Amino acid sequence: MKFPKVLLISNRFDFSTDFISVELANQGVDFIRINRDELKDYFIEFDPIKPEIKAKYNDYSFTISTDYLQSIYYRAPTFLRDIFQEGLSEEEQLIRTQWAAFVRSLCVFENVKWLNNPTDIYKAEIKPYQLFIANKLGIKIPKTTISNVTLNSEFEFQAIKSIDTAIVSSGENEGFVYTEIYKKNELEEVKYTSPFFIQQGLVPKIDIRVTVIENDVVAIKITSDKEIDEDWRRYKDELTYTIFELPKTIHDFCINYTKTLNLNFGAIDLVFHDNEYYFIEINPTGEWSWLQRNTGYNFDKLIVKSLTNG
Amino acid sequence: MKHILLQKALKYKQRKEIEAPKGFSFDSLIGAWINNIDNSLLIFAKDFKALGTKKEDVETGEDQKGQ
Repeated sequence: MKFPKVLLISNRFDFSTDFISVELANQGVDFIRINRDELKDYFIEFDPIKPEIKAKYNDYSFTISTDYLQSIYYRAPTFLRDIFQEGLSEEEQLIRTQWAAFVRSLCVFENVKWLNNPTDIYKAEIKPYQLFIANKLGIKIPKTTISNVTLNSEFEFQAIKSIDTAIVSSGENEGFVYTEIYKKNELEEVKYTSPFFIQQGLVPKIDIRVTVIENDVVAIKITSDKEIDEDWRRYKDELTYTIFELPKTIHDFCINYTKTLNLNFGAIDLVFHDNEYYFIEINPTGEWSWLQRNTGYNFDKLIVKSLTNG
Repeated sequence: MKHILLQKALKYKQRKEIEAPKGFSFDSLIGAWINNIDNSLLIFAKDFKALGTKKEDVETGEDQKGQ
């Protein structure tokens, strides 16, 4: 029987979690990784009042108990956007909704450290709320409207983006919505059936990804040989990643902002434009392993440090 | 008129199922994918590109985590 100190909630195909497992093992920390896509094969009993989980999987069993558990690394979506996909059996729909609710229920382990607690992730993923808090804490944000009507604005460039991750399926294809930049007067006034962000387009710009883990801040410039005016993710094979020091006020903002949202981990997107830093968004379950590969910086060690430090 | 968010959306063929990396198996006690022959870790394999770019070149947004 195992009594893990660290619980990893993940998915078999979330390879970033492999790094955390390996680092925890290297440091001799007792941990267990539960993959959501394997939960259907577990034998599991969860007492939400105590709280305690007893589980058996393959040829081992474990107990998640507050007597031992110190931290939880939660790599799971809080918004399920595709549970009603065509072709899912009734059984499969239940597996998705009920196990997703099960892992969210782990929030009853309220006295352990979370990276991050799903209840905090849920709120922190609301993009207009992110902007609202960022503005309150004093950083610049692009002027923003949410509307279902394209407007002729005062800005030379306008950024049009979804309010929430937008993936749409159509037959055998899927479409992913990136931020798109439009020049002034390129947009006519048109009413659409759903809303979107209309933001001041920050052109030219330098994109910055800031990974915050408690009080540790790693800022990385994402640049290319060509000027990138739109969403840098469209150019992911042609990018250069450079670690650099943020000015103290921005560094402190990143820590303060993440703490204000009750997060121990956050991946913040900033833009440097016209000699000013602008807040764009935070990803409470953001990616980091592609940055580790591209910069050599050990984010895995930093995450494990947080998971094992009280 | 097509919705403005859809006019320039990146289109790709929908992935029916994620396939396991060839020659590797997930070891639930190790908590990682290992090579079926020499037990080496997938994340340290030279030709493993899923970590080089975001999300194995299939963009799902950072909060989807493999859904």
